Amino acid sequence: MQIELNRVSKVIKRNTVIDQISLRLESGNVTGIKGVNGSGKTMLMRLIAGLIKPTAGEVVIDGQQLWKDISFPKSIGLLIENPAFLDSYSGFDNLKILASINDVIGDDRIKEVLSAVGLETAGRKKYKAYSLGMKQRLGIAAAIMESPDLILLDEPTNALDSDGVEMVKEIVRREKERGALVIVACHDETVINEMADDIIYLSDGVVTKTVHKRECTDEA
Amino acid sequence: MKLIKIEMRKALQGKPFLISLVIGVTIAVLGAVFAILQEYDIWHAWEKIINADGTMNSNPLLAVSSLFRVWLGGNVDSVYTMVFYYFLPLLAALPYSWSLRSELKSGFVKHMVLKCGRLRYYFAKFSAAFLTGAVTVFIPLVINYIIVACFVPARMPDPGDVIYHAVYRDFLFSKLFYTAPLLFDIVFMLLDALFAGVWASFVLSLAFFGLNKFVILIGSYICLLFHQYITRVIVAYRFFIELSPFDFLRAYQSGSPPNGLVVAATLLVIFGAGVVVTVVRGTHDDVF
Amino acid sequence: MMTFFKLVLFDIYNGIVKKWKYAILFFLVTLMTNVILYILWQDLGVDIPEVLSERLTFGDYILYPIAGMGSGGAPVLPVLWLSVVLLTAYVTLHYADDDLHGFGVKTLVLSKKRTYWWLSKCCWLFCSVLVYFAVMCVSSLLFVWLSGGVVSTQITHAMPIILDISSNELVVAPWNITGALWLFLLTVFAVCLIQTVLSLYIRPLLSFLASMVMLLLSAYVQAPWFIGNFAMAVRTDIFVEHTPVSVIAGLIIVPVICAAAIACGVFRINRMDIINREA
Repeated sequence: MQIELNRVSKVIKRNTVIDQISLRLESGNVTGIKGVNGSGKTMLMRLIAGLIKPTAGEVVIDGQQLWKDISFPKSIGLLIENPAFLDSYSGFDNLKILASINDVIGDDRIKEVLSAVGLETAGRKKYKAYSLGMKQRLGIAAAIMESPDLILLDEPTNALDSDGVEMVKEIVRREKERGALVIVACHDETVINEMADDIIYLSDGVVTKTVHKRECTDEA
Repeated sequence: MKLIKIEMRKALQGKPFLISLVIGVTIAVLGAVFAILQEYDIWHAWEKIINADGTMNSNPLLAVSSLFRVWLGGNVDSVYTMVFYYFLPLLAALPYSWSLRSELKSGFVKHMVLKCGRLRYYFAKFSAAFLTGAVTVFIPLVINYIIVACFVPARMPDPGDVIYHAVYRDFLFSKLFYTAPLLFDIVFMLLDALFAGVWASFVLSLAFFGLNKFVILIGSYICLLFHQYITRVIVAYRFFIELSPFDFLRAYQSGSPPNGLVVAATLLVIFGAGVVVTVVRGTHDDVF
Repeated sequence: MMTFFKLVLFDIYNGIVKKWKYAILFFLVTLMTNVILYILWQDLGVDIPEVLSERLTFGDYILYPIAGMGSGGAPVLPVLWLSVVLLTAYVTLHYADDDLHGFGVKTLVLSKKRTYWWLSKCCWLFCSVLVYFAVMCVSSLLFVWLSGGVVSTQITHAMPIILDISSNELVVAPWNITGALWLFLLTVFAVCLIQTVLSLYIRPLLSFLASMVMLLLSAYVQAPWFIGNFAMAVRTDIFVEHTPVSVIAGLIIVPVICAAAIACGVFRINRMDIINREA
């Protein structure tokens, strides 16, 4: 999968939240987006996911333009802001509802991802009874369960304990090995440095720096 | 279809649907009991009035006992009929019309639109709201009809009893009432269900305006009440056209005679508004 | 005590001042009813020219939306009355619940007394009903001034005809509705208060439905426990002789109901778990 952003901007109520960003992202890579609160990380992810329309510029995925040729990337899993699920259903049932739309996975795979995120026993509890950390884990499970080509994780380590953080790193590594394009937004320097191959620094909606870790490693 | 099934399952398994159905069925059952007791009173009154030789000293002007006069949709005297029809829009919207607002607010909508696309998802919701709204209203009407039919004879209506039926010559489908009254009642049940579905889906579409659940469910209902007041005071008594759904959905004339074109136009306008809002806002709005 | 007054001021500011759009809504709704009443009066004057000799009063204009339905006659629901009372119930429906599950949790904890939170909400509720009713009065007064009416709480002879009060039941004129206005205000406050207490137990939407049932049944059952009866001016002993609703009895009973509701709320708020839930 290849994603190109060509001078993409987004203005919301006269505020420029993303300002002329151009990027090229490819599969088999983990791209980190780093920035302080309000720098535009989440907005950038929403633009890539096709959830919001760019005010200017274009987002092209595998040669097809979002909002023109396609509405959304064909194969995508995401966790953006709060993990959002249905309160009156269990974690398992929430994933099952989502899985039943495309019908590409069965109950076994759902149990597998619940286990991978540490919710093997909590899967049957109602979502409204989940703690914040459990909700976050379920959000990650939803993002990876269909083995999508594109995975967007916005602050995936929020509310997670140290085991949870390690779990996220392991999941990201595995998805990268599978060949997915993983984009992770995080304000935690250590976490993102460990996970990402490339790091994009955002400030006030503008890319201020791009670091290709592979090049740094090669140079070193 | 799959999406609609998913949404229907969510709607029918939800507590609001159950609450709405329980309220509707309670009104329907109480209405049936009231109607049956009303008819028993009339039968007992006849026994007292008619002499041994079959004559009467005076005409008590009692209504002729008939299922078609006393079921929930056709009972002129019943407070339960009034309560049911005034509750109808709320009963229709309560099960699922709030769900889009809830999912837009929580962010769950992100998951769904990414998997199946905006329009498909919104229309699945639209359809589910329509169907649950229609079912929530249809079931109580049918239950009431069946209960009343078990006790009150289905005597063919006579135009001479028009003051009891309140189905006058220029009433909608009046000919059907006096020739095939069962079909007439079924038509009105379906009309009520159709309106309920249309209203529920319209109310669902209001979620795109960022209004909270209370405004969507209750605010729209209060607007409908004011609409009835205005149409009753200004339109009905001047032009003798019934514009208010609270009146034209009943199987008898409670205000001015309902006009088929007006009823159809009302349904189309409300349905059309819901569709237009869903298409325009659904395809263009950002999903946060 | 200072904490309590601060809470009240906070609620008045956030629950009334910041929601000024509701006041505008009441103003416009009342203006609409005023215009309609004027038109109806003019129309009546075509058939009964004598009614035009008496200019409509402020009492007429404010009575019209709150009149309700007479106790006899065919069951035609007083839609305008229902709409006005339900509108008040609606605008006061979710403030308390939102506060309890939102920012109010912080104020509740900081105030250290749950009772203060609840009593503050009761004060806010009373002030809200008072403000919206005052806006209705202002709207009517403005219309009286614009239409050349009379600023008086006396009711003209046109009103019983417009409101369809049977002449058999009608008390001999004059009719002064000051007492009925206060009773309406108190009764609407009681309805909203009961609704708010219920929303501490069940979801606000369901408590609204309960209010609606109570009001609908009040239209058809004249009994003091259906308190909607006290909110219908045309059922009071100001207008009707046969089985009227006594204004004086209402001015005693309704405050007692309010006190009971407040006490119920105090009991509930001091025992309930405050956790997030769907409205």
